[in-house]
Amino acid sequence: MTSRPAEPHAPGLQPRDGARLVTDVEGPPTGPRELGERSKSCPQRLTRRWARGAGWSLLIALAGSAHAQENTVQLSGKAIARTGVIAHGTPACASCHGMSGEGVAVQDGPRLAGLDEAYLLRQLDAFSKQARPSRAMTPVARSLTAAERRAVARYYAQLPPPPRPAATAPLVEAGRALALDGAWSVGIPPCASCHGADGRGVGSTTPALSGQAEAYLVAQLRRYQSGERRNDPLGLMRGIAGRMNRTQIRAVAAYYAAQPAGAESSAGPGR
Amino acid sequence: MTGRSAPSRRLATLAIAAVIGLGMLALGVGISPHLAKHRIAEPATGGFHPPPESAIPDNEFGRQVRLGKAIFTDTGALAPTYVGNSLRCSSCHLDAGRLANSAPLWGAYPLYPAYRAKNGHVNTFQERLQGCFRYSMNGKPPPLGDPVLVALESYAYFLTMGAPVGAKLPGQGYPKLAPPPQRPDYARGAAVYKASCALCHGVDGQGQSSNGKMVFPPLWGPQSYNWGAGMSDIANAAGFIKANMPLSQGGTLSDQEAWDVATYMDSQPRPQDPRFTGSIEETRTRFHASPTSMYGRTVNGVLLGDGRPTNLEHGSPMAAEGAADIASPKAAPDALKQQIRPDGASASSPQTANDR
Repeated sequence: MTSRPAEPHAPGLQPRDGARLVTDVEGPPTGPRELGERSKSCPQRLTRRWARGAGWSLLIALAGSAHAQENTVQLSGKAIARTGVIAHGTPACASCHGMSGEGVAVQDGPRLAGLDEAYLLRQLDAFSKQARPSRAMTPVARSLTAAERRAVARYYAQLPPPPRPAATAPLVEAGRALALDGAWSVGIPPCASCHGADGRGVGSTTPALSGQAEAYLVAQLRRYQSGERRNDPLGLMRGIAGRMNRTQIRAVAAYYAAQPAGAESSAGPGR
Repeated sequence: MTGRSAPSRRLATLAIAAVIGLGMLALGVGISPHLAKHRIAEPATGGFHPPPESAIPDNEFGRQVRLGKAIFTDTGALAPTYVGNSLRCSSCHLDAGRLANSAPLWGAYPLYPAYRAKNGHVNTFQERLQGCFRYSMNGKPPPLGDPVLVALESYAYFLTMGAPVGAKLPGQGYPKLAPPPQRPDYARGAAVYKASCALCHGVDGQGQSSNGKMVFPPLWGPQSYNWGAGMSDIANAAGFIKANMPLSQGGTLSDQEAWDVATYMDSQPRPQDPRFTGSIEETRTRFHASPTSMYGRTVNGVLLGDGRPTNLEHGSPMAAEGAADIASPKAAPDALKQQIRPDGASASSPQTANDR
């Protein structure tokens, strides 16, 4: 049920490489056998997420006959959410959406707890039918039977919504570490080394990041990463963003979005 | 290569693909110039990896380690008594003293006590740290055993844990560059500076700050390192620049460019060498008798080492005994107590660093 409309791509992984796995489907989804066939022809160069998806597809194919019959023991929504469906290779929803459905930002998993049951069910159907394509959720939705989808939608709908977006805090903390300490082992200096310790930017050299909209920061880092945006002096940001993974991009964006914009930056000599 | 790789791909076996891939790498094929340009300097392979921050113990020693890191990265704010410019230890020791080829603390700590020609006797590590304050920080050395030195030494020791004592580890110090093809040149260096450095450090080399906090360090002038600092030696500076500059693009300048721009940077006025004997000529003979020191030379009509930067708008002329003239604005221990949180992060205090 993950929402990922603007999927970024790892450098070197073209969208079409991966899209083959799940989008080269004509018409409505068919049985597990076809999934298995697709997995055979999938490209060898896969991201980890993709490899996982392929693995699921394979498992589904292996467990195909049992799945097709839909006569296995009906699991409760809670069991599916917490442990997945081993027979179908379905991972636990909790691994990306949290044990209480609160959402896990670093996993890209939105909150499900307390969402409308029919809405959730409709999304699962949409993932399955590619009306809402998702690398993570399409294989998951397709691995569930109709009864399982209903059960898990009902389970999450009755959970109490979390009191606050708890998932934000760890993401912001991860972002703080990256922003202030960097990840030098992969060539990422701290953002603060050029944007200032408080992220307010340095004159016309570097822009303020603190208080900037999270989605904007994510989008710009992705544009630097893809090379779509290339007005950065010396190519500094294209180089750095190119070494960032999607979690790091989301984390620094969340961190700076949560910082006070503060007063206007006053640049001066380096003293 | 193309002719070979196409049919091999049709075989579609991982092993063959790997062999071809290695072959391509060996022939240097497949790396676009764009990627190569932004390639960062390779870390020393098989080098030492300091313990992660999470390994800092939760005890008094760990507290000192965290304090040491905080001082290392916000030196003027947390050790104001001993700092005479706006640099931080981490200005030149990147990644808070962890980065290979950026004079990491774990490279230095195992090499002391050691004899140093600079002062003609065996130095303990704390005495070595005193030198950093006296020269690089253009300040005054904390007394041996001072809380600032204890914290810094604790941090250095922590980063060194697991490394062999007395061994020169790969990545220690700054890389020693081979002599450049052409004699290092000030004018060529000025061009490199303008193209690759001035963006952040400023056309005038005075660095840039944001809300009163230094972000890009001053490279010369009254707020930079003095003539006694290791970085005032062109060979040291060239090694640092080659490995680490522009930040995040280390390894992209050629050796020649690194030598040239280091020559440009170290041919600018900066605070007097605290060992100044009263005579520039004598000071050069005694402490700067090296082709890689510009001290005592005249560049663009400026005699380097007279302690009077004449091309600066900011700051007053520097006194000859710069180190002795540093005023102490705040009692350091109080500042330390107030500004270090238990988690080791330093509280933001934009004013303190520049209240001198």
